[in-house]
Amino acid sequence: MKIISKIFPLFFAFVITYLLNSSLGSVPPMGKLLSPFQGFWQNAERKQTAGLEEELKIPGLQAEVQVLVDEMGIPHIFAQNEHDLYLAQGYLTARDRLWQMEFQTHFAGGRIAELVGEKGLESDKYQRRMGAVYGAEQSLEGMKSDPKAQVAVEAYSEGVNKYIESLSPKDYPLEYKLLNYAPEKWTPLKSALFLKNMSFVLASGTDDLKMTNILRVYGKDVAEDLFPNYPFEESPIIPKGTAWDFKPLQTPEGPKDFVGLGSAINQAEKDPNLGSNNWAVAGSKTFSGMPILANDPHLTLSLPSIWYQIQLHAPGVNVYGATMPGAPHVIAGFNSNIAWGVTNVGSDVLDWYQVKFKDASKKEYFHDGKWKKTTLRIEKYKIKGGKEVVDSIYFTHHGPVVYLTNDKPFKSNIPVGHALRWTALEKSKEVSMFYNLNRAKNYDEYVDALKDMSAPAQNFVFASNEGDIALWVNGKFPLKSHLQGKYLLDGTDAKADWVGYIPQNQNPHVKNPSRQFVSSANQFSTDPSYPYYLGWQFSPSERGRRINERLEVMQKITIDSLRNLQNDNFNMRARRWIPILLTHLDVEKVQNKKALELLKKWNLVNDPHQIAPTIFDKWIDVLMDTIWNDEFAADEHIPMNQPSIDRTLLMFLQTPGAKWFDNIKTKQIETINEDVTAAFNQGMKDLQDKNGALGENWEWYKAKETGVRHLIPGMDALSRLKIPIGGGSGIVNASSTKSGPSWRLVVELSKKGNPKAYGVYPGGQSGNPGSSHYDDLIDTWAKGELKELLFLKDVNQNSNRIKKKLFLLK
Amino acid sequence: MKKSGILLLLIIFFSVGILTSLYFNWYAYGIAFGVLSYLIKLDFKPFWLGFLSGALVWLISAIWMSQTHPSTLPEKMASILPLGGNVILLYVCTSIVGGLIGGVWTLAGAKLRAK
Repeated sequence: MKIISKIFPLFFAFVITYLLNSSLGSVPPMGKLLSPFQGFWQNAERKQTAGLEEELKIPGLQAEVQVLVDEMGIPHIFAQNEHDLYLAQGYLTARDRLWQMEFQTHFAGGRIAELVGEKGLESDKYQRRMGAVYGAEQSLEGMKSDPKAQVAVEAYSEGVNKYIESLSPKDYPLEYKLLNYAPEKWTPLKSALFLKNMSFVLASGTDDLKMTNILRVYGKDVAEDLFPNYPFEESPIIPKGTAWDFKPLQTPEGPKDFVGLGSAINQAEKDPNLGSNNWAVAGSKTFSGMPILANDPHLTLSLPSIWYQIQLHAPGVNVYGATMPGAPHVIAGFNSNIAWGVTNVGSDVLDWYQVKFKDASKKEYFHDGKWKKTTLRIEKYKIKGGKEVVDSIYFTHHGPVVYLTNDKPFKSNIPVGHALRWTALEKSKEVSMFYNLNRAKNYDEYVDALKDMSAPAQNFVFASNEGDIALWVNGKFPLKSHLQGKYLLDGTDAKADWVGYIPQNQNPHVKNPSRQFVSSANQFSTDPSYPYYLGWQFSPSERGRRINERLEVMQKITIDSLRNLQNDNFNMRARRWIPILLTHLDVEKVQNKKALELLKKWNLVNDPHQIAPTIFDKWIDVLMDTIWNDEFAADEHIPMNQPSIDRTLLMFLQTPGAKWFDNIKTKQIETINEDVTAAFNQGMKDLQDKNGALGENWEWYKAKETGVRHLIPGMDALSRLKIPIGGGSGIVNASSTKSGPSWRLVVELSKKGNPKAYGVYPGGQSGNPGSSHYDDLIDTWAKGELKELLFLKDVNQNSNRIKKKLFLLK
Repeated sequence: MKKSGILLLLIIFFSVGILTSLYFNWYAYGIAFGVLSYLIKLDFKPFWLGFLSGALVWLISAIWMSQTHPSTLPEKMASILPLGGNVILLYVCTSIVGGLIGGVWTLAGAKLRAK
């Protein structure tokens, strides 16, 4: 007994210490976390004070590197060779964003279960079965085939690792402490995974399954009628009438007609609001006489921000812009001579092939009249707590069979029993492209750089100080027959295979058009005269039409007038629809007369404090559901697409008696007028139920709830929610609930090589919630303002904006 | 025991707590307290001596950190944990956890010493 009472307190001390040092479920290790010596208190950062100098020893550098840090915390790196330049980029990016870099690549590579346990496993399996790791390995091969790209990606990796090696546990970013793990070594494969993930974000949209479901239920005539292959109202990226300066290849004959099996389980899927704007105007339209370029890629708004600003200076290169934490080079930005920007191309680069396996062993599949061998890839998943799960993925010559017939897909738009063919899974050389683009001096060098781009395909807008403006719809586009891949394809039919790619120099492009501007907003790349098939649906045309309408009439353009255009809140959809809806509205039956009055008086601008945009948005939403849901969302096991707003408009104008207005679930026959009136009343009732009687709570920004959210779901304390900003989906200022302009850039080029540039993104340079630079740019962004970007000619240029000097010593 | 004796012990424990925390793992000061109370005869209740010393080490260090590195991080953490964003509560929790580790180890050392 005596011995026990002697030993017990010691045992108790061990247990208490152990418990406070471990995470219990989702509760962080409280002792470790609250310790002022090792926990979160250590993550509070001093505000930068002027004139600070710091020396850092980084073994592996070949020469000294100088870094000037401006008042926004943006590093301007001056290196004496390329190796050191990218090593410093890796080191400094990691210093500000290490956790984000690692978390995003863990996500991309299907390793979230290692951090959060079993609940992350299905997402992990989805990533890997869609080929994320396989694809990254392919693109790593591509990087290694170009020595310059290899140096960049390896030096970057070395830089990240030098930073990780310099850390002790008290220095780990906050999120490591909350989730209780430690950073691991960075590798070039992680950079490849990160870049590959951009294809998952931007080019993994697929509704072949939903279209096949429609085909099975309603037949081809209805499917093609309600889901047309070119919009009724459009203003394509390459202006109508642009002559094609190439001799097109013969397009393939295409597959036989095929109706796939279709069907799946319905679940939430990707945000349809991801899109972007970019444009460039010729000197003849600007006040200064020099071209001006603007870009705002719309992505999921997150903290830490998806972008990281940097200036990279070394012999042969001086470039400034937005980089992606995880990969070397500037992705969208400018140098002394040129500026470029990107928006996504929504072309169909992802197809599904229904697979016929010989037997349950899945060792052989039928194709082109023969049994062919599958290959097998084993994926291992480590789950937090020590368990390991093994998964087999079968590959046909098309690609991975993402889900087998009895699997339950992670996302509703992914068919089971189909092999995936996707441009993202091919060997690629994006790093080489960005290397060359960062150094390009004129149009020819820009065009030359673009040759190395595969996926995700982007609209690369361009302007140079030689006066050129241009836009290339660029990436690898499969050479298909018309509409090939709109529906699920027959995996046994050799004619359904991709036979190659559209030659890169025949990708849609335009240089110095007569209208004196180029622009893109994710709409159709070309009008139907383009000799190749790119896809049957792109983003709705409203943003593109608004931008083109404005740029056509704007003269004496300045940086500020383009900043205004980026923040344009005009609602094209409302301008088109309100007069039409009002002719069909039965005013007698309207329950909320005040809402109707507000709508009638509206100036059609989606300003944050207006109420009418909330009313209009709700009305249209409910109306679309009223018209279409009875036929196209009737069975949750058979997910279908809803016909587009553009096709619905056509129906309002040309076939107001169409049978689709009737709700097939009721006995009586509903008419267009009844639908419009019922939708208005239902919509206003929904708003009232959610926000109370019409008043302040109906203001557009409150209804829209634009937020910049931390990457860990539910971390509201590290997020900025209900930001007072206007715009919305389909508006040039595309700030919707979770996505929006993730980087705004406006650059005016200069003959002397002194471009004037302004930019902002909704976040801050630092990923540390304890830093003043964590979210310090969000308010500027929300107000629609831009920061002047500091582009230094050389390291000795004086600027009072430099707040800190770093000397990286070897 | 005289008041001055308690004060002296507190000063010793506090100083040892700060020094070990600066150079070793976050819970090392607890083990150091255990060693101290094994070596030194404590007339004062060992758990509460350790608790008070540990709580002071953590509280004063936390205040020092947030004074020298002013940021909104404590407010954010007070929402995450979740303490309703109340920073005072965050300091209280920090002190309690710091005190607990100090207390249990001091008690463990004292009990091992006891005949």
